[in-house]
Amino acid sequence: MEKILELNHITKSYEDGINVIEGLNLSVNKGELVTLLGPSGCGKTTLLRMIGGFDLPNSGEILLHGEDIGQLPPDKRPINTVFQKYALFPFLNIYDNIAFGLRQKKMDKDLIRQKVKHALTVVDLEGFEKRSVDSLSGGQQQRVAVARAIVNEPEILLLDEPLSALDHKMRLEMQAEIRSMHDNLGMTFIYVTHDQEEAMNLSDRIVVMANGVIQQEGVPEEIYDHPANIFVADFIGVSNIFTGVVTEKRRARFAGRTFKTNTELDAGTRIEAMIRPENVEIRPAGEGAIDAVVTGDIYKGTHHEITAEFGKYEVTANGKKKLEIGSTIGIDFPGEAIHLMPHDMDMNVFEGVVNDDGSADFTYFSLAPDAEFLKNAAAGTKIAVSFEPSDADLSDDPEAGFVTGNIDTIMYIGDHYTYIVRGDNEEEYYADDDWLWNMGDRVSVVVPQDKFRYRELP
Amino acid sequence: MRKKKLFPTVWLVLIYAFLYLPIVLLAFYSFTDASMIGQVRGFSLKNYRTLFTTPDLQSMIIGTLVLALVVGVLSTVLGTFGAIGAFYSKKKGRTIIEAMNQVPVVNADVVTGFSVCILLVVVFGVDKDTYIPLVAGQMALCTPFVYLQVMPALTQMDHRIYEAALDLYCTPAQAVFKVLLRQLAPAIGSGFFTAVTLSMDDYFVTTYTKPAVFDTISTYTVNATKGAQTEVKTALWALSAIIFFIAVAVVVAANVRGKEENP
Repeated sequence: MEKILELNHITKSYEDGINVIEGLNLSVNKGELVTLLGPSGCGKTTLLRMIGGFDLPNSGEILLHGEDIGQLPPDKRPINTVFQKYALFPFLNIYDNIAFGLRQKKMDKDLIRQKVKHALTVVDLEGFEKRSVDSLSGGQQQRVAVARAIVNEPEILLLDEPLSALDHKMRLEMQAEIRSMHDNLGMTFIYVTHDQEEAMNLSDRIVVMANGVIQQEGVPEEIYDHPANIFVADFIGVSNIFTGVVTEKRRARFAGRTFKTNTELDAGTRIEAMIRPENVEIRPAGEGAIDAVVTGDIYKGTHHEITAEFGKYEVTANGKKKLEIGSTIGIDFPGEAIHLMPHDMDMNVFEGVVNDDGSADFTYFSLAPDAEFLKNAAAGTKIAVSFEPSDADLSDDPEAGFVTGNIDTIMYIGDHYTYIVRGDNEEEYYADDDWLWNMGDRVSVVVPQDKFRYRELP
Repeated sequence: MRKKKLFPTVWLVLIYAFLYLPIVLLAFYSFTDASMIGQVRGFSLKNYRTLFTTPDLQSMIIGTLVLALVVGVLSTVLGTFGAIGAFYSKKKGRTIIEAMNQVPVVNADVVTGFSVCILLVVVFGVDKDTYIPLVAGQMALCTPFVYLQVMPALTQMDHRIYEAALDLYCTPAQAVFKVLLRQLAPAIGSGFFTAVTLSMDDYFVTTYTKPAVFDTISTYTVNATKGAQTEVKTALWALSAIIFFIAVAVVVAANVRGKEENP
């Protein structure tokens, strides 16, 4: 496959010094339809804007056919964009809108006429030349925006959440059209969306982003069946996630039971286990690995979405028939459907320095001189402190914890929630809590003194 | 059909009569050779002849129009770029500019005129005969109104059209002229008309800043109606009538165009 675009070590930060994108690498093949998928604020739009030339990276290179275009203005790049909410020129009619780029390039009038006509055919809007922008529906404006971009025959077409302003049915139709346009034109498309279903429907390849970092890239099936981490698993589709550990070869313990799995991970590896609802087997009571009590049944047209509880855990499963709330069912997780992800160990580690009085200053918070380690450490010693998410709790009393922040990510892990709390300097704290907090809630992170682990840094 | 209520109709008639009757009266008498309103005389175009043949009146009318156009163009350029600059500056900067812009709008014209006169003529010693104090003073009056007309259009605009222009091979300068200003054109146009109207209406700023030999319609009329120069006075009736008819024509034309654009 020929690489058309390569992004190497791209870093972008805004004036306040916060990195939106950090050391990102990505390559795109010629003729591919790649989707950048992630929640709002994950950096996907910033990345697209850097490819288009509307933002410049602070460092790193953007190679088009091996040539660095990273610092070129948009008008010097053979790349065109379909903007969110279309950004058509309201003072021009449809023909003039589409012809705008070609006229800018001083193309011959007859040739422009031919090309505009062809572009209108591609987007299925023949005969709309003289219409005004205002007289068109959202879907039609969307098509004009696509025509205005593709008429320039760019090397790469960028699409920035182009369907977000359309209703659901229209969106599905346009997805199919964009896909078939891509296949007919053979152009490279880079598509930004926060809608995982849209990404699944459209893409040759999906790039999942969070916090300015690529979490995973792959074909839709791979992302869905083998998510790289709990963020991806939780973001794409419905999933049951449990924390646990690999007990021996091809055996993992989670949700209070031991299950056969296909894992090649070493015994003792801490893991998150994920099972998609459609892979959970529902049996008569007593015939599964687990007996669970049905707590919910939502009819979804093609299946019933069953929720059931066992012990402190909850599981979601797709059932063929309606189940009585309160009835007991058997549940099984087939080994081949259990996907294990190694637990991310690099969380909640902070570096700092010991003060004269035995307290310690870290970049974003300070700790009192309670711990033995701190009492014995010499002033000026560089140290790192860490804590387990399971040892942390959240409180709405800002005084209760050692640091405050806002709930940024919520992941339901079988019997509890794992939260990412974002501090005022964009730093992250992972904490498990039984309570359901809302996105954006102001919380303080509480860790008992004896649960902090210290180590000296060289 | 529902019976029309009497009171609102009568009220409207009274209000419009109050607004239009004096002008209609003036227009009517401008076509007679009466020297005072109330005299019964025959039809005559004498006033119009005087208006267009007296050199004093001619130069006053032309002077007013040229001044209004010059001030209109300069204020429109300044106000438009001011609004664009303020809109794209940081929030704090914009708030300050916004507040500072309000003051000349609310402030009494006499204060604006007097202070421009003090600053330019007294402090900087600029000669009034250069017309610089006059143009600068009227611009101080008109520019904030242009700013106020352009700013809402900027706020409502989809700003991605600027980036779309860059995307379609415009340089930043081309994007500003071909797309940004084109999109703002209706607001800039009405800002220009406001500036022209304000310039023509202005009395106080002009009085304080104009060269001694120069007069606008406003300053001339105020002086002319003081004395007993009846021939010029009645010629001003004709001028009032003409201005009124032009104003009506402009409003009608604007409404017709507005209807065509938003049927």
